[in-house]
Amino acid sequence: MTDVVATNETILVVGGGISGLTAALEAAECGKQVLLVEKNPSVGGRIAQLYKYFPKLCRPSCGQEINLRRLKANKKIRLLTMAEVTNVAGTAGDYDVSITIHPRYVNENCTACGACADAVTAEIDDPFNYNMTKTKAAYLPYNMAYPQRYVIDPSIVGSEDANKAKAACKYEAIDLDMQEQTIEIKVGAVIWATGWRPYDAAKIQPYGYDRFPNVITSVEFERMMDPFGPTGGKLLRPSDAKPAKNIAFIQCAGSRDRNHLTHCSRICCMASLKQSTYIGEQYGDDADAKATIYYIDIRAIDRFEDFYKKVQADEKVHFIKSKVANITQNRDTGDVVLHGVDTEGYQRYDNTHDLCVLAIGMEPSVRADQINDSVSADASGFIQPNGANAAIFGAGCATNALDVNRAVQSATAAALRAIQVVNRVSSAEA
Amino acid sequence: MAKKEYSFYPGCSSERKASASNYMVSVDAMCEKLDIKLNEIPDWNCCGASIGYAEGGELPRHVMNARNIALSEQNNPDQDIVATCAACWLGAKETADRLDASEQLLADTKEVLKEAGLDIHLKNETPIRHMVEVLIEDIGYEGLKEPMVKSLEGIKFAGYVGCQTNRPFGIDGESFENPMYLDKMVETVGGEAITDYDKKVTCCGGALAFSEPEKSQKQIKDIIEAAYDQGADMIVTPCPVCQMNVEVYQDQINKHYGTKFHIPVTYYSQLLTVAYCGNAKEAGLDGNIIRAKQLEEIAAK
Repeated sequence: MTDVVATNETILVVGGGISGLTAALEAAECGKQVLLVEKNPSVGGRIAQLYKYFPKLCRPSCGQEINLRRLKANKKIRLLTMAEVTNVAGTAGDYDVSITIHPRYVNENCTACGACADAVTAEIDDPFNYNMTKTKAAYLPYNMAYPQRYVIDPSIVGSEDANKAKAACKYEAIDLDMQEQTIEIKVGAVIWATGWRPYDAAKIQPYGYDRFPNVITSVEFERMMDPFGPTGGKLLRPSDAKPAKNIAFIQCAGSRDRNHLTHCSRICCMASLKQSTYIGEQYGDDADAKATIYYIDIRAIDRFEDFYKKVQADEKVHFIKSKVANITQNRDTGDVVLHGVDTEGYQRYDNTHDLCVLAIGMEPSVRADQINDSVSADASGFIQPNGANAAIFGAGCATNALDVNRAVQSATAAALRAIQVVNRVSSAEA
Repeated sequence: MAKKEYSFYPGCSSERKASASNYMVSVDAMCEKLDIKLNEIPDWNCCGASIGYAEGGELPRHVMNARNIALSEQNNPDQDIVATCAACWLGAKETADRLDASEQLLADTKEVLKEAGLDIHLKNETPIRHMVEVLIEDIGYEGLKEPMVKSLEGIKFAGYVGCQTNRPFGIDGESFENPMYLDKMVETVGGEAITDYDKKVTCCGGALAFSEPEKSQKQIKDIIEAAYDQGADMIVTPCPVCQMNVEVYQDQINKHYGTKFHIPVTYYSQLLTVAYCGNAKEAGLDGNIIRAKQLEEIAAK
């Protein structure tokens, strides 16, 4: 299954999110051999968890469909899922890479019929929904997941549940004897596209994410709008499943703050402006439905200014220039109360909302200095351009906090750099 | 259990007839049961408390704490300094940090201490710890259970942590907004802890209770109200200032707001002493203005 052929002319792409997919596809479509390694059971990364893109408010599944078609059609890309790069050593044109592949316990015979999921009873947190819901311990990561193949969670392997799943499978697709394996390969260049993760909101203690059910993060809010998501596409607050209509957004939650992330993640302003439009989409003219955005300054950069102006004109959306001091909870209603000072007029406020969304910042999934000695990290751990670094190129959010558009541009640039390295290898060997 | 020894900084509130003398009584009893020996720093002085911040000036404030550190390092070498008062702990710890960070401040401080011949004794190498740190880290929750004879079952406690053991240093590993150590102590001795007590870390007003009584009493009212709302029988705290402010102004608050507050405010050390079979006197329960009857009943059994 894992007889991977790779040479000094192969480009290794680490991470199968939008940046890694883009880099892999563009390099392969230029005729290069590509090995694409993804840690999760399927490619797509965080864009698959988004309801809409800003500024056009179109659906990410559309672009993903195109990318998956490109991926399936391209014979130059070898995809490894549930695989992690554990070591990169060497120099440009000559890298030795170790990859650990975790067992999926499901082989290529899988037709995604779902009989194994019906058979098992154990449930696990569903990471696709940021653990807001449970999924069966035999699961398809999400509807559009590629490969379209189920996964058996290691927690049930060795249990009766796993045997039930195996018995339910008509295609002999379940192999409970699969073991973790490590492979060693050679590649010529590396594109590092391990992306980002949301900052841990529980660390912003005054906002009580760990204590108040109706304080959620922007990524969780995004999942709620998905018709196949945790709330079936309804904006329901976690404490009592009532519709959340009066919704607060706190900008720079854990960002631009020396106690947390010092950098600006760039996307959070646009994300909240986008999410404020969901309220109108969900509730129409309902007078109770409104968004209040608490902000330091709105960073709707360059061409996004138009979007910002459109949202400003929306009567449902209110702006309060203030860094919220803390949040308390009304014990009887579950409502959240935001306390702070409105800096335009210096008025103290204690504003009650149904739900509070923390516009959370991005931090790199893997700190750049953990990749390899030749890769430099900036103060936040993102990959910093480094002239001395031979051929490990950062792409997408591994290099900086970027929106999807800029992540794709960054991935294309990384692909071009990697192509030049393997071209040099080819001409030297010819 | 091996005997543990510490260099002890009692602070002014623990002195005889001072507001927290009963805290000291219960700490003595508790330490005896836990086989902890406290060696008082000879001739210790004031930590500067609030006055030091307001008008005392930075150098005098740090010199006062540095003098205590020097005396401890001279007389009780190799023993951690332990304070029972949250303000003493905070003041001494802050000074130790600042002296460590600034060579200039250290030189100035030594210059002043020279007058008393203490500059040569100031190494500033001694960890400065609050008594609850000793209990949690050196004894451990399991160790705290060992001498237990009686359970405090049936008493519901609002663990009021306050600010000084919590910010800016805090107890290692605890959250600033929702520290759990006091709740864990309560549960260790069989009491019921209100783990999500709303006003756990709200400011009691500190020294403003004297200068701005209305503002301070508003804070205290909220602290007590939340304890009642969440069904507490009594409040427990690690800080003498919190204890005093929350306990002694209840009558005034009742007059001003028309409330009927009458809730005991105790120290963690009183709980432990009672659980370790100490009598009411050993637990300093006679020093509470609002008597903690339920604790007294358990102590009398």
